[in-house]
Amino acid sequence: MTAPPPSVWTTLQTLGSSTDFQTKVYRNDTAGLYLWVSYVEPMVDMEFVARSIFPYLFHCPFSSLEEIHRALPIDDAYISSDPNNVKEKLLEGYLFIRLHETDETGLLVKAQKTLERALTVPEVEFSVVGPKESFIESLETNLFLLRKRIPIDRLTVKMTTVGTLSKTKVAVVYIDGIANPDNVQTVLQRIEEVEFDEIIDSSYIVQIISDNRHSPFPQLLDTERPDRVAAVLAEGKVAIMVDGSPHVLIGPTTLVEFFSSFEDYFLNWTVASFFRLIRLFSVTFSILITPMYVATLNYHYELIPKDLLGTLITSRREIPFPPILEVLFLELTIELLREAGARLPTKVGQTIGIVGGIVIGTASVEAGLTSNVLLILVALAALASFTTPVYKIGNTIRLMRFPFILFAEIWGLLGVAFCFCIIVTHLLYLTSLGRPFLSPLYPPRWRDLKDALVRLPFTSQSKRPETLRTEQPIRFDGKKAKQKRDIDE
Amino acid sequence: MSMRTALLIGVTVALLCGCVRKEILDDINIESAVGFDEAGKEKIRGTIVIPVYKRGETANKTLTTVSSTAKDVLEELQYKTSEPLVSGSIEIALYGKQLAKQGIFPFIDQFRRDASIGTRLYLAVVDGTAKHLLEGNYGRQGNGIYLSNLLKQNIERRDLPKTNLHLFLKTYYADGKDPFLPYIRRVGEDVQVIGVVLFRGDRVVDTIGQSDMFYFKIVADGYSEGTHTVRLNNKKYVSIKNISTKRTISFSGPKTRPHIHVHIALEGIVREYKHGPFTSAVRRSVEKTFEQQIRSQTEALLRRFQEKQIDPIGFGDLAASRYRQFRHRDFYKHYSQLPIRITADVTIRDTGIIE
Amino acid sequence: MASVAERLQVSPFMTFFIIMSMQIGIGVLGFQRIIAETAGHDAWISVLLAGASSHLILILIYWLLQQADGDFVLLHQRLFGRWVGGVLSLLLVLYFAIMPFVVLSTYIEVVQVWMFPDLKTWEFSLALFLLCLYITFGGFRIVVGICFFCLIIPSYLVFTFWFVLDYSDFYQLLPIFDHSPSAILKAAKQMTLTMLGYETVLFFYPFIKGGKQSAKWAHAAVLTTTLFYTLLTILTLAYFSENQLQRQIWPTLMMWKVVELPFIERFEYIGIANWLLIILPNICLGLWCSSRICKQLFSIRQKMALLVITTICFFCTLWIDDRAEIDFANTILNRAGFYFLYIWIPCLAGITYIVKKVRGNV
Repeated sequence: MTAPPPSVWTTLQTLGSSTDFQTKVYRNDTAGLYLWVSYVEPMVDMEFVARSIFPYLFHCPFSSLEEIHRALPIDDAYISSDPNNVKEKLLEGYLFIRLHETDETGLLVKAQKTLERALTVPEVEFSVVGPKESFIESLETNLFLLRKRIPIDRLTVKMTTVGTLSKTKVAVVYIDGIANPDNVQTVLQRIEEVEFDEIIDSSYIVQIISDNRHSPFPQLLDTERPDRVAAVLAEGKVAIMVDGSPHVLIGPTTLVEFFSSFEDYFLNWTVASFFRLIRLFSVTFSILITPMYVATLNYHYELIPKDLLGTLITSRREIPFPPILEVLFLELTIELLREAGARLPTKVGQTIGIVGGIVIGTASVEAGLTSNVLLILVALAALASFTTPVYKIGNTIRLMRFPFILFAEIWGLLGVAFCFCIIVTHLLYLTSLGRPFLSPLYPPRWRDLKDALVRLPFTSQSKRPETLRTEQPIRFDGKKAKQKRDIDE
Repeated sequence: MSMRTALLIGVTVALLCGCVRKEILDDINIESAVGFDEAGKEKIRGTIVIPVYKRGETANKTLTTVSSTAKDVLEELQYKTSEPLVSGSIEIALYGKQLAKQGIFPFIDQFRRDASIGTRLYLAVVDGTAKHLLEGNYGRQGNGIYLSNLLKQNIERRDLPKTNLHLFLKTYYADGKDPFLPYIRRVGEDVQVIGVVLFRGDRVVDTIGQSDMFYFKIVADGYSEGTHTVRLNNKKYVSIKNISTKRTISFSGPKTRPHIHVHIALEGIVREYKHGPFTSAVRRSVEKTFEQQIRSQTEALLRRFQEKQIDPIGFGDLAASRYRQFRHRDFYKHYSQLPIRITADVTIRDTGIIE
Repeated sequence: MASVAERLQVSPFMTFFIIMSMQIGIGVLGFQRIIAETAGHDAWISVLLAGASSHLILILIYWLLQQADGDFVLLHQRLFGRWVGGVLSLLLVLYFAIMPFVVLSTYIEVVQVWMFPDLKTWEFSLALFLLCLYITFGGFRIVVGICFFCLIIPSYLVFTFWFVLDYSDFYQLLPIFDHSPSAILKAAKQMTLTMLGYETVLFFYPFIKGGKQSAKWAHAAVLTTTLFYTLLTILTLAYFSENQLQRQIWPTLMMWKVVELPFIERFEYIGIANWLLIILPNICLGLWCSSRICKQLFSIRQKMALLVITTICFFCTLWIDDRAEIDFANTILNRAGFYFLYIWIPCLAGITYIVKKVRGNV
């Protein structure tokens, strides 16, 4: 016996096996008709139904679905008899209204429950000055936030659905005529090719569509700031927005972009450039300081200035472990504290930070497990690693330290240089949506350096980044902006 | 197998097998000063100082041994320490006067060959024995740092000419210049710079006392920042601080027997003058007297060098840069008879903050 | 024209970085002694002369490349037939394959003398060759990236020579031209060995976008290198006395010893560690060039050629670890480089010119 083709009736029967699927029968006294109304209860806003749909259903005189359709003051309603469509819409929160229980045709009325949190202040990428809104989980709201900032018709949104189970809506957003079509095509194609069942968040997408999935370096920038997305779209990049995720992905990105905070653009360029340099310095410091400690103490005592020698030796004398163990012990303690602080509720988390920092630190020095010089270095390195404005690169940086420490242990400074070469090579291999990740450093794009390690004033930012190969490389007339006046004019 | 996996495997193998010999900072004995003395026939007494760091203060531990060669000294001392001795952080090396008279090159040669030894290492000759000097306790940072700071301070601010291992070797190997080193002495619980010792080759042949160091530094280094007291002929004293010195040496005549002209231009300010107002007449007389003193003292000094056939100033090298196809041997054949003319030009600038 | 896809090509000005990073290598640590031995305090003139001659050879190289449409291996075959030309190119494979081995061996020797007397050669060369394979497997763009960063990052080392000024007696350079022209020329010949590296342009030329425009960058690179070497020579001659310099195997490292920073007591260790970055492009580009010629000659996969050459190089570093043997290999490499550039390239240019006159095209 062959299975009968799916009908609306059988679809409803399947859905009916779940207890939150309801079919209720109402009687319209005016017309003397019965109405079968089906819906998936959690998805439907019952208050809305009682207020805006039922009054018409029960009191208007009509005899057919078309008449109900006309009478209802709701736009998103239509008559359908396609079982798949009916199923999908029911699951999204539509009412399905039939005149007879066995009817294959019914009216779908949108009564979706929308629950979303209010817009909040960006928490991950907080800035003191500048806009204070951040994306939320709803794609519609996020698109609204974006469109409000770029109210032009060329802002193009391409919607797709990914995930065999989650049916997550993904929007690829770019400005037509600025963004390079190749980049857009790459993104669209990679999203099409996503093979996964349940896409929860944009970070799923980024891990699936990255050029190199094994690299600890994130190859797409994620941000929760609508202003940042608007700004990079104007530069010619492509944004990927995922329904249910407050983080938007931006590509193609570069390594230096991860070290630029969006606040840099709200401050005067001199101040902003200074902060960027500070950040770069602190990242270098954070990665290299403990490996240098290991290398120097293990092999290169000659390097230590004579006045520092005493300080180092007195602080190390009681320590029973070799420097490598001492360093690993402290580094892991810091990681523990961070991990514990991140998992616990905010208030408790803070306490853990303080308790860990002060108590464990002091106690381990007193107990002679670590030297106080190293304690300072590790604490500074940890602090420096938190200066990265993008959360994900901060994690990478903390991870980077460990191979360096291992190499410093075996070959001292030579090992540090060796490890450095490996990481540079790895970075050279990396691409973001097919564009070199190290740009504008390599391949050198001298012009793009205006917004890389430093941020030059807006007047000199008249051209879009060369790396992106945008369709319209000029942002505004730079000459006009730079026009100088003579004195007393 | 991708390249990355190969790299990973290879590096892991290297990591597992790897490790070069470690010198963990607190598991080694870091020498901070060494000294060599003569100890009877063909024997050498070596002394080393190891700083013992305590909170706030540094004590000194000295170890001594007698051996026949410089290399053996350090090797033998290894038997006396619980942790390996390393010499990469030596700040200063001292040589007893008796030893220095017989030649110190064998002891410097081992520094030259050891890549871990710095080139800014100070060398000095001790009046008495290096052992006696190193056994004292000076300063809070340990003897090595104390002694090197002592010399550094005297070179930068006082009248000790620039010296260190590099400069010693540079002049030792140079055809037209002879090395010199600071001369120090232990006075109770202090160390004092008492002059400069002059070498011919690696042997000490002469000593310059404290009073002549000022003139020696001016001619040798071409600058000095020390303070010098001038005695005027009416028994008044004036203390002058050098602020700029310029020394020019020129040659004229044939290259085998050139006439040497040393000109010293000195600019100074008055530090102390307590015999009434410092008028321009006084100033002129101070300038004249000072010029006169520089001329006579320097001349005596240079004459002494000529008599001893040593050239710490480096006239030979300077002449070599003035004459083509210069031969050092011809130059030094007549060195002791070369006429040297000295001129001086002293300018005293206004006298500071008090009228 | 040997066709190379555009996405694999690099901008013409990258030639500057490639050539410069190739020229500056392990030789910088010790070239001064050799040239000062013959030309004394006039050695810096020899450096300038060597630089000038490099410019001339570079002009010839670019002329040859244009005649050959950028493919040097093909030029050999066109001029001398398939077999003879092939053998000539095979010699070049050998030349570029010896280079990584010699550079690495010398570096390991420096490390063993100055830092780790008991560093095991096999360990370090294994790790380094694996790293080089990782780099070269990425193709020319990655190799150039390494050339770029390994020139830019260690460039701060130039500033360390500022400390040397304190101990420099510049009168030691006087009088100028005190040595016979023949001595100066002989030192210039010795200096050409340190200037080697720009010959690689013969092989990476097809990988440069708009190849011809790279000529000015190549000349700029040679000029910068020459100036750098001249400056370094002048400093060295002023820092050491003449006899003292003759006793230094690695004068540059000795000069670092005098650097004094408040947080680093001894700079030469930093310098040696940094030198790893300097030699990396030498090794990688050497491997890349030799494997590239192999690919063109035998039409095998470049990956295969790379693996074979690297393995051979690795075993060479194991077997040849004696000081004298490394010196010998160094001499052979330098001789070969000299004859190739200063004898073979002019000859080839002459032959090409004649053939062009006779045949009308090459």
